[in-house]
Amino acid sequence: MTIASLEHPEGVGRRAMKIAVILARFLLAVLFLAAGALKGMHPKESVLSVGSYHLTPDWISIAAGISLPGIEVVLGASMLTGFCLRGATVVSGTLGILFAGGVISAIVRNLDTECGCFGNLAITPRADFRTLGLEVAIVLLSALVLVKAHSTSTRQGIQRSSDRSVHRA
Amino acid sequence: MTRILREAFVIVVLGVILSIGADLAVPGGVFRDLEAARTELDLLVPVHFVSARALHQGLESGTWSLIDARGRRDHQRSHPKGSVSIPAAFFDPPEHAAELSSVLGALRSPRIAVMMYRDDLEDARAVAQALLLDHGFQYAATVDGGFEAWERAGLPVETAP
Repeated sequence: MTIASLEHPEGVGRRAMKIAVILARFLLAVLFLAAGALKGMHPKESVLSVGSYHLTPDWISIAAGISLPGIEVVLGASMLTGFCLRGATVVSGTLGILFAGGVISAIVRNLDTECGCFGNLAITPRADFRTLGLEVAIVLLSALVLVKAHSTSTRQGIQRSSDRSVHRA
Repeated sequence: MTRILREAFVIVVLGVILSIGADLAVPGGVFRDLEAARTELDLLVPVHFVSARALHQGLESGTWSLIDARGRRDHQRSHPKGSVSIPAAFFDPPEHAAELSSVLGALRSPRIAVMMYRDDLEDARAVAQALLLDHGFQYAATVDGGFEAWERAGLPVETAP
């Protein structure tokens, strides 16, 4: 902590927010890279995991099961590098909401199904409240990163337009 | 907003391209044999789970039957009152097919539960799937928390046979 930030409580808050966002991006990156890589090695298992929720017709289970691993790897890479970061947070948040919906539906129907989050790696052997917690965490972390990335982008936009005005004057 | 959606679209498109490439690259990819994937999806049957307490009530009222799919020795040592011992290995056809069908034929309740130890959830699930697919049961469930949950709840147990 610098002396300047001690003098200005706002500086402390901003620094804490910055650290929280870095941690959130790192966590999301690790989660998505691990999930995508593990599922990508066994695409058929990924398709069957989607199908085991008994919510979607076969063609959606196949399309989603094949597409998910690659999307998750790109999301993880985006969280690490910052490439299309705001779009990535929207996709990860949306995925988190969809997954949470699936898990809630499995809990409500007393369905005994593997969560399928990390391919064959049964971290949570059943889609249950622990799995739901993971999905909610993904949504919250994505929201945190989106808010920060959006405010930074807006601030940079304002700065650029004010620089242009000064330059014209 | 439009820019964020455009970025999201880029992420999804890149992800789908990567996925298709990976699926074509790995052995056993889905695109190589879509029909096989569809067949496996058709064989997925919904297995449910039931809590030990709800199962106990169901056993008393006759709406549930309980298969103790642990080993015979474990069953003899201690098992839920009213359970029938069919070790999971018996579901590997065809060695025990005759014994299996005679024991299962005696179970008449509309719902059937499979109990193993908590850590053997996958095996219990496989037995429940076999009951649905191969033995004509309409509703099968695994016991939430396994035999440990039954004991923890203080529900009645018996020793041999």
